[in-house]
Amino acid sequence: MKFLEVDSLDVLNTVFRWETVEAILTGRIEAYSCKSAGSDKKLFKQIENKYSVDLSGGSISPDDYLHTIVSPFGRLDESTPRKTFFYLLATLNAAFPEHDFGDVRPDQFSKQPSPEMVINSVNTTLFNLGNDEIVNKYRMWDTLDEIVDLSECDVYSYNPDIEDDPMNDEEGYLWSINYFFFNRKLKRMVFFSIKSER
Amino acid sequence: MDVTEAHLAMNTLLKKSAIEIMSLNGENLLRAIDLKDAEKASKLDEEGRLVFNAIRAAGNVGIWTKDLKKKTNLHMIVLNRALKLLEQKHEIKAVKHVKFPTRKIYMLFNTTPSSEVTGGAWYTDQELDTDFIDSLKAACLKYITARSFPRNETVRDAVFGADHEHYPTATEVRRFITESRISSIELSVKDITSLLDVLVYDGTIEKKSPFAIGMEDFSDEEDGDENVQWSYKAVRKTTSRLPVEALTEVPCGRCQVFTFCSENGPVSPFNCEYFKVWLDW
Repeated sequence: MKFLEVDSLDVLNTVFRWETVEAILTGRIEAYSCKSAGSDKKLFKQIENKYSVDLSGGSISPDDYLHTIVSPFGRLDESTPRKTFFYLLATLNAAFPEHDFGDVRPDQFSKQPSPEMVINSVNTTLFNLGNDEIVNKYRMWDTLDEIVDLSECDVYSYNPDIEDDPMNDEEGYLWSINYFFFNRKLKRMVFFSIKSER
Repeated sequence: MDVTEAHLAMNTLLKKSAIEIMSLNGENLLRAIDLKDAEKASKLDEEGRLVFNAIRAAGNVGIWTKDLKKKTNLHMIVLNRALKLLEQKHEIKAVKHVKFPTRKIYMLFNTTPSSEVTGGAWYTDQELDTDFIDSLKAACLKYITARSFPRNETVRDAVFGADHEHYPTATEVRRFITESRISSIELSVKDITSLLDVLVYDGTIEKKSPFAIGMEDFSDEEDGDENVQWSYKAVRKTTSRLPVEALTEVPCGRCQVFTFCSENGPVSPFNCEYFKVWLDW
């Protein structure tokens, strides 16, 4: 995935940090284009191998087979869902260079019902934590809309196992939320996250 | 050798990476490095050497790239370049830690990862091998059960006396498991003990103290823990013959003429028919 330098995003990231009585919150927004870079090829091959080898077994029951194949992106024996899964993992790899997400299972992602619901949910969280200026003054959603046309996006969220959370890098980490806004037509991905620390 | 000569020698050796400086308990100490590794290190450029030494110092636990970056103070790009080069030369390898499967961890090519990293006996390919564990648990339970109760055809549900001292210990269970070859890998006494602990928490066996009851200078601090050999006894899962609710188990609780029954009357505890039946077990 190729990191996209966007001035308006730079501005957002600089101001996307505020404090409440209990915690320090940091937002992080990054835009990527689905262009292969570096280790992406290796990752792509890894995924293709994993999901095309399973098929011809014949010794798995239809139920078990569906169980391994069905994912939040669709059926992994079809290439488009596999590609989506690949883009998400590649984005994670790019966003957290000290980690290798090649072995992440598809069920560790969840697909959000619609971009509108995600926007609503994020707004509620932000306003409840006392930050409305990132939305109202800095026009965060407008900026993102220019990059990735939010209404045309599929939105996914990564749910890591507690111990292996890449956002948990310091003592005092409390929680984080993350969303991947994926526009298949534009071949662009926006990684959005908010982290709370003490 | 005087001090200046010693210093000169130390510096030369340090440059050649034949020795390294370690900090232990606040003091700086020098440690000699395996000549082979020193030779390898000297063939690398400065950054490669830094990275190689840091990875070597991490031993069989390996070091995470994030920590590596902090330790070497190198820029991400420079670090990655050095890592790629070392990997191509087969001097280092990437390993997966069971607790942190997404972290990029490196160790020297020929080092065997510690059991903390691989998960030890219970993990196969980064996953908890539940089938393996279950079959081992069953085998242990079978052996312990066989040794927990005396073989007596005449008495049903016989038990050993309270002073029976030959319940199996972890070492004996381990010997049984090894001899029966259920496991393709070698299991240590520690491994077996953890397995037996699981059975204890499952409630299928109980742990018995090796000490005789009544010994009071039994401190809770287990310093010589290695030598304490606990015994394990199977818990008998019988339908309990203890009354669930005493008042309904006793015939009186279900007797239709309860209120009529009295000591000297026609119906009394002495000639009670229900008692006769109940007591004849």
